[in-house]
Amino acid sequence: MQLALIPAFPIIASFLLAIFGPKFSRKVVSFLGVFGIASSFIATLFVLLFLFSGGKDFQAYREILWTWIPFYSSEMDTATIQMAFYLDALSAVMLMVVTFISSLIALFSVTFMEDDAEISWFFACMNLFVGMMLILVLADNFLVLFLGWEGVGLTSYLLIGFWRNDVLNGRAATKAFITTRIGDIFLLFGIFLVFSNFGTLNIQEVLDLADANWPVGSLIATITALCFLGGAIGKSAQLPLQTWLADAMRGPTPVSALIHAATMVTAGVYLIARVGTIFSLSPIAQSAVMWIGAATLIFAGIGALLQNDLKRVLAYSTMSQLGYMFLALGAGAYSAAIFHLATHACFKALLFLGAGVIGYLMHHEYSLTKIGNLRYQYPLIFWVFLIGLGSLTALPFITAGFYSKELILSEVFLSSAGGMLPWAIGAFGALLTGAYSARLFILLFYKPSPQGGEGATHSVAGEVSVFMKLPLTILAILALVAGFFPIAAFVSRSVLSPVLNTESHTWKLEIAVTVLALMGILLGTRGKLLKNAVGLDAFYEGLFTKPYIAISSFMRADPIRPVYRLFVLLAASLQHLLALLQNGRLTYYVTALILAVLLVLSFAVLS
Amino acid sequence: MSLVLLIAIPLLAGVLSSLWIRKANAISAVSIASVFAVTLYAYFWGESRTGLEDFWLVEYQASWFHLGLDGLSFVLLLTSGLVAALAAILSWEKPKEQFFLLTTLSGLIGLLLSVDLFAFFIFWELMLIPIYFWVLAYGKERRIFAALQFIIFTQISGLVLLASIVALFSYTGTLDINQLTELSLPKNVELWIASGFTLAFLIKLPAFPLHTWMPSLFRDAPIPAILAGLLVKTGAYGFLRFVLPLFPQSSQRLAPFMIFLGAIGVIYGALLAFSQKNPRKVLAYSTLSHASLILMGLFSNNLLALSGVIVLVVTHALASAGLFIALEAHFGFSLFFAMALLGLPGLGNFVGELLLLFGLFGQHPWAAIIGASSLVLGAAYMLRLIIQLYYGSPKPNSLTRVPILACSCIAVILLWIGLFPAPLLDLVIPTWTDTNADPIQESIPEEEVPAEGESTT
Repeated sequence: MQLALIPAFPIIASFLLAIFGPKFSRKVVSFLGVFGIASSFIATLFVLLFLFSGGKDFQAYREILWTWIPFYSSEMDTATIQMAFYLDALSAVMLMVVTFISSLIALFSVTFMEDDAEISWFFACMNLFVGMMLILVLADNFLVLFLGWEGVGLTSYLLIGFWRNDVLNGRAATKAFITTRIGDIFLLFGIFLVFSNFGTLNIQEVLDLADANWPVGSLIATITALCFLGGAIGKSAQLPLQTWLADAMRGPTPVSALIHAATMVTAGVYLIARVGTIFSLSPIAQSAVMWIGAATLIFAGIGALLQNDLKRVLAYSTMSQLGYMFLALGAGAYSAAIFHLATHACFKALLFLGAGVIGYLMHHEYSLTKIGNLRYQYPLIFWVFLIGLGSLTALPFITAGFYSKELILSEVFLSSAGGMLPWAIGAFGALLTGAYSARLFILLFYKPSPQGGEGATHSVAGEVSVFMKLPLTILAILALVAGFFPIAAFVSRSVLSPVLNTESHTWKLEIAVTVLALMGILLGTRGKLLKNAVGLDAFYEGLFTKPYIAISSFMRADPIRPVYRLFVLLAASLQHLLALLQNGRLTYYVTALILAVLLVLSFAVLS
Repeated sequence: MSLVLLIAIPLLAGVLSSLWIRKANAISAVSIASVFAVTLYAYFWGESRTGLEDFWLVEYQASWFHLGLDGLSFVLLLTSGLVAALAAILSWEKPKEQFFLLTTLSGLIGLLLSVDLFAFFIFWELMLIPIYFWVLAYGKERRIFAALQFIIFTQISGLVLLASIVALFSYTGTLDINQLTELSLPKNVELWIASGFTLAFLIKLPAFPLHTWMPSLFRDAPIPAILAGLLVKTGAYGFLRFVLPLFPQSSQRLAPFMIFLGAIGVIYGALLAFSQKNPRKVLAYSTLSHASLILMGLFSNNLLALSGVIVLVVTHALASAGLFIALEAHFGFSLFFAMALLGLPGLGNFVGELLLLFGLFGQHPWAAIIGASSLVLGAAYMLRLIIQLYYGSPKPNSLTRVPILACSCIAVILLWIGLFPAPLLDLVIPTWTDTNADPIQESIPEEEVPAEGESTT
């Protein structure tokens, strides 16, 4: 019952808010919205303290709630899919990250959404998201994982399209849902394959069976791993399913912080780390993960340089950082990837909440052409972005991002699956990160205001309340110190460890990367606004979306229907033919009668 | 006797309501409620649990008028009763429609209870004729065309069904399923008769390319008529009850063709649903897509897929009924039912689609891949529908209290099936497999047939 409590709190809160929310007062809604998530955090703390206080002996804990779906097979032996949860070090870290960050963001939203008419719907969706994410993280079998997986997709859809007055929001939400669902279908195929091979869907059993039965490099392992990879790249916005994430920024900013930066998009990383055994059986899939990560981190890094919208820069940056995590996963460095996931959640949530403060004060204006020169007016925002971008750029020693990114790059360099080239790409990514971070920083704080005047050029919409300041402060501290937590060592209890060549030269690598990042910052400070931001989606529009819409509207009238009209025409002409016979002239009738009699008679005579 | 009551109550209530229009709503409500009560009574305390080789929980026989109740018909009876209740609520303002509703319901119940094929045919017609007049009398502007098209298609289907029944009778001398399952026909004869049944049920299901009557009917029929007569998949029931158990070899020979038709229909329906401007036509083509998925499951020769079919038949009827009620009137419920229809885990339709695809994947992986693509394409047209209805200029929710209550009931049932489908499956699957000599069981040594299915809940 203890584990089930963790997702139960936010889910119950979400149902209460969705059904009775409109009748509650704003204060009750806000309280319930934060309470659902925060109590899940507290439950997580208790569960983890209780379970992990035993020291290093503790491996995993399973909790079966009820029989979910019975699978009747032909032989009447029913394989049952349990609704069951599973906790080990990997899911524990994810639990902490999800519940803690979402509690802070829920607190932030209290002020951010204070004037919105549908605040209860907002908190209902947010609570449902947290509940579903926790189900995903805690899943004991693939179907429960899929339940959470689709559930977070749903809430992401609902929250991107939260403001219904603009059709574009609905389109962005639909795009996100459908793009990620394409990935989800691959995940489903992976689940089919696993079931048809092993007859069970329990994740741990499947991993053991796969390890025992599938030889390394076998075709079935590769196909299964690639199916899981398909699911992961959809959720985590990696190439080639990355296009939805930038559009997802149309949602309220706390949502971007929570779902589209800190938690949901990392589900793909979690999935691959969870089924790492299957990936380790397939060198092809493993290197596919690595190269997709490498390609995305460069692609999205360049994308971030080319955007003129604050939130879109951050979105591309998120893709790029997720690319680092995939790079690590591909090199087998699962614990390093999860470590970076945790630190990234802290500093990216910080950056997005900083952007949220800007949006809150500037009437939801995020275009870098319209805002700027915020240095003196809002020192809070200045410090938030300084720390957040510093951690993103991995400034050495004092930021959390430094430790996780260095761990990834050195493990990629040393692992047998990685090597020099992936490392070099990652290091070049560090240069890009420095460049777009510095460009963003300059445009936000040092660029002369577009209206020309210094200082108070922006009309301010509201007061930055303590509900905003508290989460920002906590996240800022974490963005600096989270690197000191022994997350990687803790996670490596329950994931595979990378095969490293030799322990050497890591400090040289660290210096090289740091120099590159600093060079990037220097480059970025010269960054300017672009005339028009680059749209990278046109390719997909042309390849899939437009042809589908064209075929669909071409066939709208249903091409089968004319076929039946042929029958109607046939019947009508037959009717005309028969109508000719019934013309009312007596002579015709008599002639016909005589002819018929003759015919019958002749038959009778002849036969 | 309770089974006869089940058919008689709505029929008599329908006649009564047409005579006493002022009280028509009350009559309808009472009769539907008593249908529920009698169904539950018959299932749990039914009188005639007959001999060993009989698997009907409750039976009634008077020459050809042979009725029986088992887990499958019990579940579908409850579903039909529920959908009929929704239809009754929707036609609250037009009490004259209650007559059509109740007669349709009577035919539907009779059809679900028939053990004898002749009785089945009579109820098949009894269900369809009232819908024709209903559409003709209360439909929207192009109702005559829609009704005419509907009656022509369904009468062709009825004719083919009658011809097949006559042919079957001339070879076997009986129309009782209990006896038919023990007989076997010459191979070619069986194939011809099975094809006749299949054609009849394909039209009603509907499957590609026999679906064209449905979009125009959905556009112009009164919504209660759509709910009551068309959403409960009697075509799928016909396959489950007759074609698969009676003609096992032929259905295996027909299977590749049917799966092919299903695969086309899944994509075709989803593609056309995407560009429809009328929300009701979106639902019509979405129904085609789902029905095609059901068709694939039916012929996949796999118990897992069949259990998915049963769940999908129930949940699809409920979810689309809910969406029809909430359409253009309530954002939250429209979204909920759209999500159910696009197969969101945690809701009932997902369980059905998942079981179906799992079963299909074991037999025909490529068909399963096409079927699974409906999850993406379904999301595309459903979410487009939501944008079309609710984005841009948000409308206030305009549902009154009773429809909201009805929608909540369906929503709860869908959630329940989505999270605890085991009771539903345990109700249907054991009785269905123990007693039907379906192809799946051929490889298994004959065990003694239990007297009754376990009525676990």
